[in-house]
Amino acid sequence: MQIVKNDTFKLFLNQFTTVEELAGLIDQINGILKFTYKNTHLPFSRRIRSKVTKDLLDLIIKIEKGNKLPQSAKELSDYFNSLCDFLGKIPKIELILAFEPSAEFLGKIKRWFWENFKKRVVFEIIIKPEIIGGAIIEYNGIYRDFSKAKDFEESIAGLQ
Amino acid sequence: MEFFIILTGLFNLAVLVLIILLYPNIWKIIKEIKKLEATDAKIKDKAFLRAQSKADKELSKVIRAYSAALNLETKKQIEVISGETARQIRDLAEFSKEQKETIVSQTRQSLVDDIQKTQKDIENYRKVQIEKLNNQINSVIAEVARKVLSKTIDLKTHQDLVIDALNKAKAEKLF
Repeated sequence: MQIVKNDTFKLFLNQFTTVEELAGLIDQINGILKFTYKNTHLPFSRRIRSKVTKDLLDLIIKIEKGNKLPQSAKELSDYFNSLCDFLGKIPKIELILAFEPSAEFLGKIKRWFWENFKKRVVFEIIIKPEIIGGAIIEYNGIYRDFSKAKDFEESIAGLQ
Repeated sequence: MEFFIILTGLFNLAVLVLIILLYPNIWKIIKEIKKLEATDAKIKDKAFLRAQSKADKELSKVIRAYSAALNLETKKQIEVISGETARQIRDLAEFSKEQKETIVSQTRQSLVDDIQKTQKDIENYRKVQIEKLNNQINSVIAEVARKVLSKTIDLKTHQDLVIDALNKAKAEKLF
């Protein structure tokens, strides 16, 4: 059962890219927990139909159809609680950018992490146009400034 | 026994008769003695008074001599003290004059130093404030410039710069 859970948990990783999206997803999961014990004669996806976003509902239907969603109320509740724990442990990377990144570009960065480190991560995006370009990155409490503002400051200092 | 009593009575009678006979002479002698004692007392008093007078005179002489010597010594001491005091006053006046000159000189120098220090402080403060102002202006200009520069970069370049940053972070083993 644990393996089935882990397999399906990974499917939820495509539901978010940023910390805001992840928080929204965890809120939705916490919101549907109470339905694990209600109307148990109905499929779970039907019980939560109007309570979650279409993407999340589609994902749960897919898991349900693959018979990978637990049936009993308790197992279902444990499943979603474990899912919340799993999602809460995903590493966070803070990216300070000079522009508002599109969802497509964030997806590209997400893929870059997967391709380079086989890591699933969640981004906290902070927009600061004054960094000019590039990024300031924070991971595990360590900051690295790869912004063009740094180069700019060095150029200005060189002129003075 | 009777004879003895008679003999004693006769003897007493004889003594009584003798006393009666001698009484005027004894009285005379007693008077003379009293007279002599009175005279002796007078003489003693006179001698005492004379001795006292002499002693007073001698004492007066000594006191006068001592007083004169004391006066002379006092005068000498006053003269010495006066001389010393006058000298000390002169020295004090001289010292005061020197001190006054030194204080005036030091005060003048101190004032000059204070003025120079104040001028230097003002100059430093002015420099610091100008530098702060310059820094603030530079900071504002730099921030505006950075924002303007950020806007001038197209989206593709921005995205490439972010990927470059990630690659640099990877090279530095940040992840």
